[in-house]
Amino acid sequence: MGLGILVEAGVLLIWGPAIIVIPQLFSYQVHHVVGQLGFSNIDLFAMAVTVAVFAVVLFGLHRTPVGLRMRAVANNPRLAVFTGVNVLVTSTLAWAIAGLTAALAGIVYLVGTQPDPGSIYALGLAAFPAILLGGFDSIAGTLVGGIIIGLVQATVAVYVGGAWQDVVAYGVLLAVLLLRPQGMFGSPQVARL
Amino acid sequence: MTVPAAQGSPATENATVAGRGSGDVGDDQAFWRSKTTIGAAVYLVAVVAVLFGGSQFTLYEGTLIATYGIVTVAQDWIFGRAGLVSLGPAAIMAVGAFTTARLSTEGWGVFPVPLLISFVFGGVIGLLIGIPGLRFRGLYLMLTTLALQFIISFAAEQYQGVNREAGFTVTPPSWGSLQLANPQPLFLISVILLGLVLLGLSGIHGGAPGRAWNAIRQNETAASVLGINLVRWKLAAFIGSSAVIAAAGSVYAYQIGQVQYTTFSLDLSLTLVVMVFIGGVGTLIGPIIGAVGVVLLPQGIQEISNLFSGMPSVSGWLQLNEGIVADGIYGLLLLLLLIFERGGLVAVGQRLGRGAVAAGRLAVRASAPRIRRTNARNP
Repeated sequence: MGLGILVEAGVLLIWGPAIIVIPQLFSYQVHHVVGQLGFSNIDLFAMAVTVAVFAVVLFGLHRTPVGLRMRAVANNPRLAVFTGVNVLVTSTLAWAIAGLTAALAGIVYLVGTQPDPGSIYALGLAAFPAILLGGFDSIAGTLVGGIIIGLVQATVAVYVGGAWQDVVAYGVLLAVLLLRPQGMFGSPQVARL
Repeated sequence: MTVPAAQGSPATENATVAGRGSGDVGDDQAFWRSKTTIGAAVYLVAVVAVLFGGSQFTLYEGTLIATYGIVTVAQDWIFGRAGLVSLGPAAIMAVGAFTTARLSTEGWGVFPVPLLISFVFGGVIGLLIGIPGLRFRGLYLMLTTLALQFIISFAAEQYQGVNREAGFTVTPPSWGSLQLANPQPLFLISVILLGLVLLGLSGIHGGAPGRAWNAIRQNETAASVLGINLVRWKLAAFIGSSAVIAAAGSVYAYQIGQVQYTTFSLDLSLTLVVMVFIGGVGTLIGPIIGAVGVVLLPQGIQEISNLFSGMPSVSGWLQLNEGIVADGIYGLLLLLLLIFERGGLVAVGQRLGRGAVAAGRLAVRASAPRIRRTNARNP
């Protein structure tokens, strides 16, 4: 959290609190229509990046030695040390990847809207409902959770009112915590964290 | 050997360690020397100094510090002592503040009434948070309280939107002709409340409840095996700390006069949590030091920018970006403390104190006259 505050302060100081207008990379227009749903180029870009990131992360975690070590550390740090895994390096790497994907998420979000540096961290916090819904130790679950939360938010925005969007995400979070703490795909022992 | 024998008789030592010992010669000494008494004395001196010598602005800042102090001490209660993560203090303050604002307009909303009702409502909210909170610890509990912070904030937004768009104005409390919202009376109210909270907490933290919470914080399973009723003590911590925070919210409402949901955002919650951590978790002075630091830091930056008045570009930049620089400093301080000294500024102070004492001892030894060793055989 300290790092978050520091980075946010740094960004504000360097670029100023004014809203920066970025050149429009993709058009907002709805170009492609599939049945009842319309997609614009921006949406396609976002989806493409999402799928790519998930593919890379899933592949990395399950098919590479580095990923194996990361899962080992997550599962049982002490045992991992005994097996010769450098926990410090592995954890740092995990953090770095988290930062990288977060930055990517920020970029994708930005392409669709105007950036307002003061309030973006609220967007980051919205990841938690998605993670919990999907299950804390399931990457695929996070993807599904994210999609569901996004859909729920959009639906609420349309039918009830835009202000309810964020609350609904947290409402889902509470519901998940109370009813099924391990989420949809998480393993039960995660629940008693 | 030049090391002096332990201070006071063994009876005094025991009395100090165990709290109020009974009827021994050294007992009085223990009482007057105890941290509580010294702390209370220092507190009274500080309060009187500000009350009679302070400018309007000082009084205002002092009230703010006291109000935040109440919240941070309660946060330390629930997090530093009982080990339960709670990210929602601002939301609970909001409950107190909105209640007070709403009730102050009623005829029967004479001064202590809204405060007391806020206290009770806070307790109720604490219960509501505590019941699901019983199940979780660590990250999950943090997320639950985060969710509640947003939900309560949103509920406040809706309530305000429906009833009064621009926010609720608090009718200034008064007793007859005495306007209680004036700087001096309000300051007095806030410090009296803070004093009561501090006294109460130092009492219970030092006794059985404090030990129970300490055990729960360190290892829940072991604590329950030892016979500590987890449900009872966790709920007690939630209810108590929330009630206190709501009361602080009530005082806050009286101070700022205008209650809006935007004030009680996640930002405020995080700031309050940071205050506790920077000052020192697990102590009673720590959170207050944190509150003092956070409230006075913008002043500090002003002072620094005045120092640079010879270099207008620097001082101008500092003044313009004051808020952001302050935030940056908190973030930096938080990081440094996380890495080097988890105990916060209180622990840093203790380390420096010990270093000074050690340095002092060395100096004394070095300056003592060399003692000539006489050869026993040839005097």
